[in-house]
Amino acid sequence: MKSRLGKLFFCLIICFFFGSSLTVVNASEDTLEINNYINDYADLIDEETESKMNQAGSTLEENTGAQVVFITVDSLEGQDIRQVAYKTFNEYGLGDEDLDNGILFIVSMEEKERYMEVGTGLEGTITDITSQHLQTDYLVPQFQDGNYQKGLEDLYYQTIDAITNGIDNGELEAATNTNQEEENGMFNLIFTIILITIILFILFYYSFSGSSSVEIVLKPGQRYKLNVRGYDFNDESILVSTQDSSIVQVEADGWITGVSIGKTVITLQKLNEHTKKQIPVHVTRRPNSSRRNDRTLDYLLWGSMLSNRHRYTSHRSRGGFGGGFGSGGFGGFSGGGGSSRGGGAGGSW
Amino acid sequence: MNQTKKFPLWGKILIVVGVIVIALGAIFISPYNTMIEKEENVTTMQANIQTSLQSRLDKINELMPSVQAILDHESEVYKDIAALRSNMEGVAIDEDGNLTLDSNATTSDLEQADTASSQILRDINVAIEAYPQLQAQTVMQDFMTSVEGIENRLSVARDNYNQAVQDYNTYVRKFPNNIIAGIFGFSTKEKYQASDEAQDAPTVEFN
Repeated sequence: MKSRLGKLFFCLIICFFFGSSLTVVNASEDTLEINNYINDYADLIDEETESKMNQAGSTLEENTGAQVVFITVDSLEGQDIRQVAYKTFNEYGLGDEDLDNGILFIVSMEEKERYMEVGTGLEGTITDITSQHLQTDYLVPQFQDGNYQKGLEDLYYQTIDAITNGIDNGELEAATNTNQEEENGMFNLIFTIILITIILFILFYYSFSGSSSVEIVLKPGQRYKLNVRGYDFNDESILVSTQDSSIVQVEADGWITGVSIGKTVITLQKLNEHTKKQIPVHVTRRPNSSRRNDRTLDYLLWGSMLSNRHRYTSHRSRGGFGGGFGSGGFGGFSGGGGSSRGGGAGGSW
Repeated sequence: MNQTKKFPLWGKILIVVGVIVIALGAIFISPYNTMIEKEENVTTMQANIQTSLQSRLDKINELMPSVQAILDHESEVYKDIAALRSNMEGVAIDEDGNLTLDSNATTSDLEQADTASSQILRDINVAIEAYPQLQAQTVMQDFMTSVEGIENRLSVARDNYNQAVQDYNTYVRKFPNNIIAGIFGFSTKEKYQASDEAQDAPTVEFN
């Protein structure tokens, strides 16, 4: 009971130490929600076309890890479209974590604004100028004629083409499906907590069980030669006595024998000294389960470390879940952990 | 022999020492490492500003010949650009008139170069508006597209730098980190303050 309280107490201390380093992710207000590749909040695209575009976006992601996301809104409520694009892009972490090959295109009808944010990894191929030309060639003329769906559709497929062409001619890389290194920080944290808990557990176990840490565990009928530091049964004359000879019998040469089940104490005393040493003896039929011994603890310690190390290695594959950055994914869409740095182009129509 | 060895004393001592080391780590080493991390982050963010600023200067270098060829050398704009170019701290000008940021430019150098180069771009815009033959070139529209992109990256880089500095400063000033910071000589950092004019991306409307 005491040791359980102690463990609880130490768990609290651990929480105190690590709690201060935990960060709370706050969703910024000036971001838009991404639920799919096409997020047509302004309702410019019919459903059939939208699902086709989503399909194309999903195929692109499967093959290359690149994510091309379009958002249409009625109004940005006075927010700067570049800011919104940058923040939304990085909130969701569009594109592959290593390749940063995401694209986010936002069009706002009321302000007549359009902007394409290009992931850092794509900037070399889809330069600001290329991105502007994609928009002015495919989207702007259609938008000027009121063909919003056609404009968005053309721009979407052209953007995908620009990325796949870039990969085909070797300018860009496609994400491979090889497993990435697990998130080390998270792993280390978990590992450290487990390690500390185990160490504290062992420490408490032994400090609270007090002198019983040198308890001798015997089976009935088992003989055991005492091996106590400072007591040499071969060279010194040592008085060995037992409190209850019905449980343990002792011999002068240090051999003891378990007789029947129970607990008692044997006392050692050197002839020329007054100090006595008392050793608790526990005679039981199940010595290993009645009281965990060191070897079991050893297994516990190393076993849990090994199994945890095993469990936390290489299970994370590309684009599996939201990445370290994105808190998105509530609506079924998750970014791959890519980032941008404000590259891209926009304008009006 | 079914009887097992008891946990030895040295083992207990080892565990106690281990726990103390881990506790010390949590109290002492971990904040120190976090400070290093956050300071490095600030440095990276400053490097990002520098990169964006250099690409702005590159763009100016690229634009300059065509602007100079058309501008009246006696005009105010031309003189202003010339004055700005020759007075940029932390920026070197080679024989061809190309501007290059010093690799070890300080934050205040960057701030000055930011303000000055932003003014040069504004002057170029004035020039473009005043000279239809410049405006007519589609290549100029592309230039402006990339200038806008550079400005946007630069403003993102500025924001990120300031966020990194704020993050670092907050961490360093918190108790008990401030004591550890004092011991190891971590001091708070200044935020990036380019003038308000520099924050606004200069843009030209093409009709």
